[in-house]
Amino acid sequence: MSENNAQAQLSQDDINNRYLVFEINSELFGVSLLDIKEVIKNTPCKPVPYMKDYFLGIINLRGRIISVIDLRLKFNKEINKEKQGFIIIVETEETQVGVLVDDIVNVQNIYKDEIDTNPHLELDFSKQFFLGVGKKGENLINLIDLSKCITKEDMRTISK
Amino acid sequence: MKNFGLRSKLVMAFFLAAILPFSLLGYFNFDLFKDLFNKNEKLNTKAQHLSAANNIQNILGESFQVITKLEYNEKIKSNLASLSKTIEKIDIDSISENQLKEIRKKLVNKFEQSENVDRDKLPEVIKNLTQLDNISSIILNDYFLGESKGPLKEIKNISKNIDDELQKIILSEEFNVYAISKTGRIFYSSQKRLDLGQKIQSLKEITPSLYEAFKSSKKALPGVRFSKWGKHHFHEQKNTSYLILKYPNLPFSLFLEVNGSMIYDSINFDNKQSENFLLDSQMRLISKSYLNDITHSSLAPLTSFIKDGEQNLSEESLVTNIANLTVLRKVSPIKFLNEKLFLVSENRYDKVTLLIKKYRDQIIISGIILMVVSCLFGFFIGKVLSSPVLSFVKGLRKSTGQFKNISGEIEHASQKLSESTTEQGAAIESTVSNLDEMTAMLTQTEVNVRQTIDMTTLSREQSAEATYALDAMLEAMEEIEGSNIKLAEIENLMDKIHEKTEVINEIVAETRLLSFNASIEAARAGSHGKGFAVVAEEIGKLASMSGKAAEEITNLIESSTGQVKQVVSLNKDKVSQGKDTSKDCELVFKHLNNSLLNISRAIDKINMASMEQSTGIQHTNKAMVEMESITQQNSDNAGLLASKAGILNTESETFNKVIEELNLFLDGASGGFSKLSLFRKRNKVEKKALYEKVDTSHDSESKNIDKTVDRDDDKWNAS
Repeated sequence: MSENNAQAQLSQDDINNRYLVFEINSELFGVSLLDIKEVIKNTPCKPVPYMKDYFLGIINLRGRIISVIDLRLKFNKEINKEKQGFIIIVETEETQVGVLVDDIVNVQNIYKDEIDTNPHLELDFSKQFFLGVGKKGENLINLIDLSKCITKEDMRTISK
Repeated sequence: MKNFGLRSKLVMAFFLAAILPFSLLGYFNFDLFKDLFNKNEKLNTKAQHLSAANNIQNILGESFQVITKLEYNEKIKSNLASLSKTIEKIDIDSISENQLKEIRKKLVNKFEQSENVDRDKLPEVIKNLTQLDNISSIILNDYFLGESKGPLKEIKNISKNIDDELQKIILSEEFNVYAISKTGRIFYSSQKRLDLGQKIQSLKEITPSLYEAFKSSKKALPGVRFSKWGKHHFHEQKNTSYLILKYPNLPFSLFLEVNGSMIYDSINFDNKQSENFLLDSQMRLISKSYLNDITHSSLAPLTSFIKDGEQNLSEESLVTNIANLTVLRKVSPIKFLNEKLFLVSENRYDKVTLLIKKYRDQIIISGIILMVVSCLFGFFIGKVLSSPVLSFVKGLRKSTGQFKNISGEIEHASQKLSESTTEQGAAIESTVSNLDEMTAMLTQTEVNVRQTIDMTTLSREQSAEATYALDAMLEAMEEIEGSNIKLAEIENLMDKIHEKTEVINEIVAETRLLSFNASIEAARAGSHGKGFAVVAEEIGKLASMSGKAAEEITNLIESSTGQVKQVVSLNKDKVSQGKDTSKDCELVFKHLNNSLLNISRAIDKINMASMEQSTGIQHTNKAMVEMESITQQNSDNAGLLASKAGILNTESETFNKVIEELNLFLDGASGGFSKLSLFRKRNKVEKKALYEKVDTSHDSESKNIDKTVDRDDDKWNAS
């Protein structure tokens, strides 16, 4: 990350500040564009036995097998079945993982002064993936690092 | 006789007819019965006499028994001897009443003379003797003095003949054996004089041969008819006795004629053989006559006892002798005859009397029944003959009464008729004026009817127009329905537009995704992809805008299709309702049309009827004119009728008189009837009732006629 940040500082601030805003249960989340490999429409997943509930299964993306996690289940949110849903392909250190969200809103520029990196929150999980809260008008966007959302445990179950 | 009716005459005639034969029958029958009664009575007296004769013998026997039981002193002995001698002399056939009385006197005297006679027993003897006297007197009077007739005389004659026959045999003085069958017929006789010992031997021999002879032929010997036992004819041969030998196994008896002395000798001698024989054959000793029985067979031992003293005979043997005597007496011929005859006569008497009583009763009862029946028959015949005629007369009476009444009524009616005809004329005139008014009224109604006809035709036309309008409305409704179909087509088009917008939406989504990926790629490109990022952003914006537009379009289309659908359904409902109501209207108009048609027809009929009525009234007018002339004729005729009715009335009175005469002939005078019998009275009463009834019915009928006349008058007045 440090390398990426250095590159961004080197080239352009605008590019670094670009985020993909998506929706889970009408809550807005933001992910840095640089963390994302690709966005695709929701496709039916092939379920894998003996996996956790939020592990939806596997899909075939242009010849590559990619595991898909339902972020809604992971964040203990209600599933809105009317929504078609989109899968965001994220590149972790080891492999690529698909994350299912309700909807993708847009791509926005969120500058550093607009980000509150240390809000007073009492969270029961690790703060590693939570980058901060972007304030854009009246909307509050939770900026998260998707690659860190998926724990090593999750990955183990996947790798198995 | 004129006073009596036909019926009473008939009854009397039948009554007399019944009495005549009955009285004749009764007369003849009573004569016959009288004769029968007398004859029977005579027979009965004779039988009584015979029984009396029988009683003589019994009494004599009893007297002798009494006598023999008296003490044996010399005087008695002598008296007895003399008594026996006197009795010997008694011959019933020859003695007269006086003689018998003498005998009786002698007997009484002799008893009285004897001093030592048992005074206690003497009254008995005397009593017996008096009885003897009484009875004998009757017998002498009736039987022995030759007054008897019929069977008794016959018997007497026969017995006399037999006596003559036997006399000859007895006179032969030989030992004669006669075989006598149980019917009293002698079928064997031998005349051989034998010693007693020989006799008995020969008898033994004779009996089987006799039996054989008897068996072989009963007609072998002609024999002599023999009155049962020898009667009094034997008494003349004083010293002759008979032995009767009865064999229990043989159907006959032997009758031995022997010298009396010999018999007594043989009895007394000691011949065991003969004694045994006698015992075996149940020998009975018989005297030559029943009086000789007493003297010889029973009194002879007594006399001998008296003569010889108390040497040979014991008291016992004496008693047996006396007993024998009585036994013999009981079978004496006269007694037998008497008994038979008496029985016969007695039975006959009873039977005859019974029969006579029975017949007499029957004749009397039947006579009474005959009388009653003939009376009833006569009454019945009279009733049958007279009742139709009487009823006829009644009918005639009734009809004449009616006749009279009716003739009177006719008179009355004819008067009324003339009155009524004049009234009729007036009435007819008034009727004619009324008819004119009626014709005027009818013309008025005709005018009214025509007006109504016009009105109905007008209303019919209007209703037809209304139906045309309704048809047009229906057509319009159908057009509305057609436009509805077009609306449905528009709806379909909208649906298609909706489908297309969905396609647009999809394209928009794809475009957005593309823009996101493009911006991602631009970000990765760094500063080099800065321009590309802007483009991508723009594309994303465009995509979101087009997405919004598509969304608005779909919303609009959805709302418009909903409205269209509502409109279509509403239209459908309204159109169907409109159709239904228009159809109902059509129906109503049709009904209206029909009823209007009916009304017009009815009015036509009324028109026709009124036309006919007017023509009818014209006819009536003509008829009225004719009637006026007829009533004039009627009044003339009524006058004629009244005069004729007067004549009829007088004629009916003469007719009534004739009927009264006929009734008098049939029923007789009413006074005579009531005296005759109760039936008559009753009939009379009934008749009266009938007449009253007839009268009442009469009145009612005449009233009815009056009523009918009145009613006719009323009718005329009403018209």
